[in-house]
Amino acid sequence: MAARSTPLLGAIVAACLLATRAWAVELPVIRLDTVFPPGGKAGSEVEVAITGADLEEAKELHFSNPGITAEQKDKKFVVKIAPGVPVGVYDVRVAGLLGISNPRAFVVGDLPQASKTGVHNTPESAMELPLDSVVAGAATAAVADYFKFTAKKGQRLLCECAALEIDSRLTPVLTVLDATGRELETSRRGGLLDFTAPADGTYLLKLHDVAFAGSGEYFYRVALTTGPHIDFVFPPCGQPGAKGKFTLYGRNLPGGAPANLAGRDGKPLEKLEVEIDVPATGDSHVDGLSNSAAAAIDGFSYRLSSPHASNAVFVGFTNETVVAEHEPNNSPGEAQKITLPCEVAGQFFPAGDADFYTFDAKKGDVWWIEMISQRLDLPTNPFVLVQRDTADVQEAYGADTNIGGVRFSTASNDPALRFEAKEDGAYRVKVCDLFGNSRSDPRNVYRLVLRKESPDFRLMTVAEPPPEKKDDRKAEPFTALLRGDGTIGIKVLAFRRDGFAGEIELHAEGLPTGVTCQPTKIAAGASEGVVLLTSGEKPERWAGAIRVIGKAKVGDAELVRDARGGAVCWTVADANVDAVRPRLTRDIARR
Amino acid sequence: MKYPPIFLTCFFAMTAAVLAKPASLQIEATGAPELTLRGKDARQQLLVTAKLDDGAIRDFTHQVTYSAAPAGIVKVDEGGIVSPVANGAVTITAEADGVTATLVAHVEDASHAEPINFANQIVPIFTKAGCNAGGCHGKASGQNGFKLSLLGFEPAEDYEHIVKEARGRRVFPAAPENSLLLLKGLNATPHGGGKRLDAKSDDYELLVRWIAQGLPYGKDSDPKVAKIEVLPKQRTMALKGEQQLVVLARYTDGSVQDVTRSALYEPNEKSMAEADEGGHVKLFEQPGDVAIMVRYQGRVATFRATAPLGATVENLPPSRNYIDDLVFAKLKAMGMPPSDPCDDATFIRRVSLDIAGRLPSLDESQRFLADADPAKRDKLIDALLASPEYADYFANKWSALLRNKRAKPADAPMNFAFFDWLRDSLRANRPYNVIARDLLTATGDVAENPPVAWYRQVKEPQQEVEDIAQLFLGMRMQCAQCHHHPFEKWSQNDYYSFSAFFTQVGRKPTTTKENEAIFHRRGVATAINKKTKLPVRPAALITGPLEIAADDDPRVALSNWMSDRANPFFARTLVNRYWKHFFNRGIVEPEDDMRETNPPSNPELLDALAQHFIDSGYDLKVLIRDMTHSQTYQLSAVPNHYNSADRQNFSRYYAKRLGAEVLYDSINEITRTPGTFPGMPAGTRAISLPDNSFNAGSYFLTVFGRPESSSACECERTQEASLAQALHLLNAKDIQDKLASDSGAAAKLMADPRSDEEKLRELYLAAYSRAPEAHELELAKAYLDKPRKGTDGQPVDAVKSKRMGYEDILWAILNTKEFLFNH
Repeated sequence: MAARSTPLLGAIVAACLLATRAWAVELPVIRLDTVFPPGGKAGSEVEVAITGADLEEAKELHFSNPGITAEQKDKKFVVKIAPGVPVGVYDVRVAGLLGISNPRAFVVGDLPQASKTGVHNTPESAMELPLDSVVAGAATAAVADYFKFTAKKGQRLLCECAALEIDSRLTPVLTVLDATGRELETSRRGGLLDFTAPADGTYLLKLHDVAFAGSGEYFYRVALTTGPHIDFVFPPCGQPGAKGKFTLYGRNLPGGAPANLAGRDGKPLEKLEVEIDVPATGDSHVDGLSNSAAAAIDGFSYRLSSPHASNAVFVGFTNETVVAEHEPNNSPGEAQKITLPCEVAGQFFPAGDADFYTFDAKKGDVWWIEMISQRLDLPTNPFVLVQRDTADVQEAYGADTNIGGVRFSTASNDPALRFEAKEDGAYRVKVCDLFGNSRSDPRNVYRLVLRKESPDFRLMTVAEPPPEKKDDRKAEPFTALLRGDGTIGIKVLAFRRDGFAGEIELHAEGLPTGVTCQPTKIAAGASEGVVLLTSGEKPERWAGAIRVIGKAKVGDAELVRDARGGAVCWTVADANVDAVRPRLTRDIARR
Repeated sequence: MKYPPIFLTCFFAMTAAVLAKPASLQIEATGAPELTLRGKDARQQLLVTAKLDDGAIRDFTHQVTYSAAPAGIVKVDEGGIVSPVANGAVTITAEADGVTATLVAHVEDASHAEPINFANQIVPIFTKAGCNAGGCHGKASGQNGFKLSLLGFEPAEDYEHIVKEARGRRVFPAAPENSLLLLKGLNATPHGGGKRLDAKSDDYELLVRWIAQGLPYGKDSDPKVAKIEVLPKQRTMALKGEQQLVVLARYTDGSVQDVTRSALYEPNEKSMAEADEGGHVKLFEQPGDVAIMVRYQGRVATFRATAPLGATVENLPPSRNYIDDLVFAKLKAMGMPPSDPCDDATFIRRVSLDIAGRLPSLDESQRFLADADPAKRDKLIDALLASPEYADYFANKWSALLRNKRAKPADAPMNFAFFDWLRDSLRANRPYNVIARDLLTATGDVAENPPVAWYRQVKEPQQEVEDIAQLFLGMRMQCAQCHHHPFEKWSQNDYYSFSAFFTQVGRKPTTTKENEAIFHRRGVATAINKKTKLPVRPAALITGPLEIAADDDPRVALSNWMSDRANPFFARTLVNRYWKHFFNRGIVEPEDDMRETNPPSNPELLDALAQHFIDSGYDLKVLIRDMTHSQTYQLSAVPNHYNSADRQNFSRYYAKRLGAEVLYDSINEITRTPGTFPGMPAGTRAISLPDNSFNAGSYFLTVFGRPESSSACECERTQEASLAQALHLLNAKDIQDKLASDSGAAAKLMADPRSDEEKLRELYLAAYSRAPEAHELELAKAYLDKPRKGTDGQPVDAVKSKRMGYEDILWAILNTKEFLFNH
């Protein structure tokens, strides 16, 4: 993990001020449910409709990229996407009388986009889906949407349906049928269907929710392309500011060679060596990981851009020397020799894979051993075991520590442990995936970081209304809202690393005129604090993102870290019954 | 089938079996050439077997006259039980019709009584008398303050309860006959269980002597029962024939004792045979196979009797594969001629219902019936196996057994995902052992790995063991959790060793507390035996404890053991389960209770099916193809003169009522009113419903027995008929609405310009896959032409009348057995 010397631009909270006095009672806050279509092509204009709640005077759309702007037109918005806006997923919020809303994803692509209009819920009424284009739609309850396309014999086509990753409630099931209605290929997980046409002809794509649920909240963007699609990148990390060699594994990679590997769907993968300029810093998360535990991981997202942009893969930042795993290392006798500190890039592959590494340590040496895998949005559950000869020294399961509570869980499956050598000699680290005993999925990579103790922290703000009662298990989309002559607190979570237990000073920057921030602290050892914002009596109305910054002393050094933002996607009445979907936001605050 | 008691009584009156004259006799006791009786308490049941002139073997134990020379050494009663009188050698002779056989016997220590061993001699008396049965003192809470271990599996506890509990009030060594234990047993003191002991019996005498001897428990070094044996093991018997059994207990010190009178006997088919407490078996009039389970001291053995019908079996239809070879061989041995092969109309309807869970379409029936291709049946089977309905129908079956139960609306995506996983697996014809492995060793969360859903429903190692044993090994292990399995050799140790495979199953919450992900918690798996409180390591019933390293998931070892080619349970259980699906009766019945004491009706067939299944790489479609290709499957359901009583030899197709989902879909098909299920696309068939949650909203599915996915037992699906079902079909609003629907079949038939005859032909074809008989057609046409009155009593016009007529005919068709059954 990179120890960042300069704070990243990463912002957090959107606050909205009103020119009225604070109300004695809690007023409703604006909420954004859907933006449709949830994206558009770079360099185009797209007319979008929004739904939500408490949308009084909702006249502005705020995008997390300044190249995207919108103007209200009738009850809709015309969104202009400047030609230079990179392909990616951005956030959009709507501002109105009752504040600025929670974010919704807005995709900028490089393919022509159409919207599903009319009814296409039978094979006969299937909508045309031209090759290398996108259709935006929403699933209807108890029916499937049908699209038709033509393909040439042997042509490898990829249907990619974005849903979960763009905040939709949809869990898509994609099925390709031949002209007679016979099912040829189905994808139930991950939204990718890889289809090689058995003959020239017209085919149908059937799309529905796994449980046949549907409404405007089950929106999607489905693309039919000839690729490229990246399944994973190896190594999954690089040194910031350096050029690095990486191997992409995926489908229809231009210039790719057979990888002799099957993807999770059993389809053959190709590989392609690429050189990537790893940025020194940057908007690392703008288009990257979105699970809340990933707030502690720095990196950037990479896309292959030819013939048109691929999906994104995340490349993490590391300051250590990267060592690639070398099989066979599946038994203590075959342990791969490594020298600390380093970062091992490995794979939990094939099913039941266990990887052993051996290193020498001196008595009293302290090393932190951290796994990064599940936080890369992978379905893994890494396990770490340190051994000396035949004796077990230490073991660690996933860091189930949840500092965000039931409404904003930050628990992850990735373990970390502090290892102190009790004597000189060789030690062994075993890593395996506790979810991987019967599953062969080459995507399941890991980063095994073995570093000197380097206390550090990351911050995440949490947008949630104050709980209505003790043990409140309701979770809902929310954004901080400050009214005239009022004060609000914004919750800040601290992800502490390598045993860092010191105080963290908090303050906010980029505030509008008339708003002040009283400095506060996250107490030593605590994982939660509050940033307090106070407005004057008659502030100007303002909506936007602000920076929340934490400072802490580690020895003589002062660490300064920008907080990332966190938001809940959908309202859940009881977090014990229905899954809450928290995610990181993609805001960029002005500096 | 159970006969009413009154019928049974008449039966016995007629059962004086006519015995032929023997050509030769043989007298046996223990299988050894000579018999030795040691000690005063020794007893031995003799077995006298006659060979008749025609070569048949018959039991003569109760038909011969016994004598012994010299006199005064032994006593032989008329039932052939030998007891010692004095030391010496003696020749015992059995005689019938002038034919004799002899056996030399030696009596030693005739006056000496061996010290009594509580476990070996006293406990079996309680078991035989029923004192420690599950309904009496053997139940977990005991009976009226006195508790015995179930069927005497825990002698040490029984000793404690009899001798020491309640300040020893149950036994009185100073005057043994006055012991409460005996007074209650004799019913001399009021006893809720009535009279269980006879004061003149050996058992009573032994109990008295035991109390008088000062209630010895016996020494730890005393021999224990190692196994029991029954003589003979197998016999071909005449209908209404008899057979005396001899049960020998072999002890750990190598000694052998006759325990015939202490053992318990139970036939697996009570309609076929009975056995008295002395091991005397009597067959009734039904031909077939019957097994008598013999139990003694937690050990089991089985006597198998075959009672051929004895008819001449000629002109068997040609065998189409190994299944026919083995079924026909059995039918020949049984002397039971099979029914004729079924016709094409019956076949297409039968096989479509069995493989795809639906009626054949009109078009399919028409094409099939008109097709002259001799291979058309095989081609139809292939087409059905390739159809999506095959996967739907069998996913529906497995989904219920694998407890795909919806607890709350938010679980829907998981229920769908699991059902889809099953369906996809079956559609892709993934090998059965691979499907079982993926389920058994599932890790991760449901969204990523749907079979994890099973572990969401089955949360404790005990439950996991019981389900896995029943599903994949055909064994019901439940009993062995609390006590030695009464009908099996499995002990509590076996149970807990099996459960140890699941003790390292780790669970962690994912998106909600209840959504658990499954993983292997590192560690050496052990389970605690609830009885002994000692840890046991994983052992798969017959493997002995396995060495499984802390890093290795024990479930993987279990899965490897299951799909080992030599596994005696895994393949047999599946082929038997599927056999039941297609033939309406398991080769072992019930299909998931494959005890040693519940033997298959055709063991060679079960073995061959299992072997072919293993050799095919556990290919489910190949198995179904083998079964449905067979002539056996393609026999008519109509019995001939001989086989109407046959329930186990597959001499004809056993008709079965359509399952709830299939019947519902079929009615929707015939009435042309698609079913509607909340949240599902229009036209969704009931066989494609992913889980049980639709039952609550459908009285039809509930009343016809669609399972709630609450257990691993096929028995949760009730195939039984009930009055509620009959009434529902006759006059429920649900059905009436379908018949009277404006977009339904009657309305469409009314508007259809074709002649009534054409339309009726089509209706019969759709419902029964056959054309109507001439008289059926005449009757139906006449009925349609009949003038009708409306509810107001006024005549209705011809068009309305025609529609009402079609509604009635549809109603009548739905209520015929020919429609309701697969036959």
